[in-house]
Amino acid sequence: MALQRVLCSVSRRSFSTARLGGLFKASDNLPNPLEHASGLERKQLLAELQGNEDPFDMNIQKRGVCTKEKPHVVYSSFHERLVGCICEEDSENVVWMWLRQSEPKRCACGYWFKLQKVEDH
Amino acid sequence: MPKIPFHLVSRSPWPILASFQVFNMVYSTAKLFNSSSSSYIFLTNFCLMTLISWNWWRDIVRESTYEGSHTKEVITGLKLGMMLFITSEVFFFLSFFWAFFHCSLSPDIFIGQMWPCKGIKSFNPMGIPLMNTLILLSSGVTLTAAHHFLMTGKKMKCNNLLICTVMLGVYFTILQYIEYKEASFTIADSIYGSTFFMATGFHGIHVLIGTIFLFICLVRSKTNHFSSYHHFGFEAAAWYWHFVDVVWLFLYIFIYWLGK
Repeated sequence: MALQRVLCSVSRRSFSTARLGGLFKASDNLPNPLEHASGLERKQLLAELQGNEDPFDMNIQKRGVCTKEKPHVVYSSFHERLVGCICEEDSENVVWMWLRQSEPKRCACGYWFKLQKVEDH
Repeated sequence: MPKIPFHLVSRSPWPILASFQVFNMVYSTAKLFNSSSSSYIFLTNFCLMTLISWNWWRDIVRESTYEGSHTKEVITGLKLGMMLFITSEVFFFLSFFWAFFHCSLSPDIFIGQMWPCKGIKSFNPMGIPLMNTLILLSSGVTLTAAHHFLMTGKKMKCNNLLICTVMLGVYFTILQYIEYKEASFTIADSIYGSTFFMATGFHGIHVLIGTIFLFICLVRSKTNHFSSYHHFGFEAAAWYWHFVDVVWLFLYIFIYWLGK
């Protein structure tokens, strides 16, 4: 009986749900992509609208001075992050290293990196 | 905002259940083909497989459409996955074509040194197969038009064209069924029957799956699951359908027409 009840409710739900059905029912047109999106997808779209083309800090960054006193800051929402250093400008390989919170690290080429934890919001 | 765009999936029962059920399906299908078991065991397993697939895909729809977990980076991964899947399908069909060419280009003495094999009366390629070619090519046109209207935000036109595509898919399946019923040879009649029904049969199954895939897209489009920029489910269905279309062209040219 319990299984039957679960199966009934599960199958009914997947048939009857409609994304923004009431709002857009009368219209022939598709919903606006921004109004349609939800969750992280929506946050990404909003960040891009605000001019932030790299909301997840995924792009390759130009190094600054990168000394021990002024290390290059790498943002992460975790305690550690895998960082790749392109030591020479025309270098064909990337030197990968684990960067941990409160442990600034020096790449073999001499440049310093530091992890800064960012809280999710 | 979390600093990762990727979708770290939550715990789900479907992968392990699907794995076990795939085993049951293979086992019961093999038993059915060997006539050593009743079709009820196969049907039960088929229904369970359908139920698991349905629920797994329903979860994915919820994660993407309702929870918004499919960011641009996730969609890139999904696209790559679909491309790899279709590539694997290409090689699946390549193996059947390999078998066909191996046997047909230099026919053995055991099959009469002729192709079609001695005693086989093959289909007229200018009959139902030509009609099926036209149907599939037309469905490719209606599907592309539907995608165009989806991207420009014209939902009604998109839905109508999608209905046309699904109907053409069903029409193809019906014609293929009629052709199979009227066939003068079976899968057990020489290597011609084996290669013919293996290749066209698996293509027919792919048309069925593609039609279901497109029908699901139609239902999702009607319930506003798609926006003009985020509709990867539709795109995956379209890629799959075009792949099935191209496979048919090769089947028609080499097996129906040049191999008659």
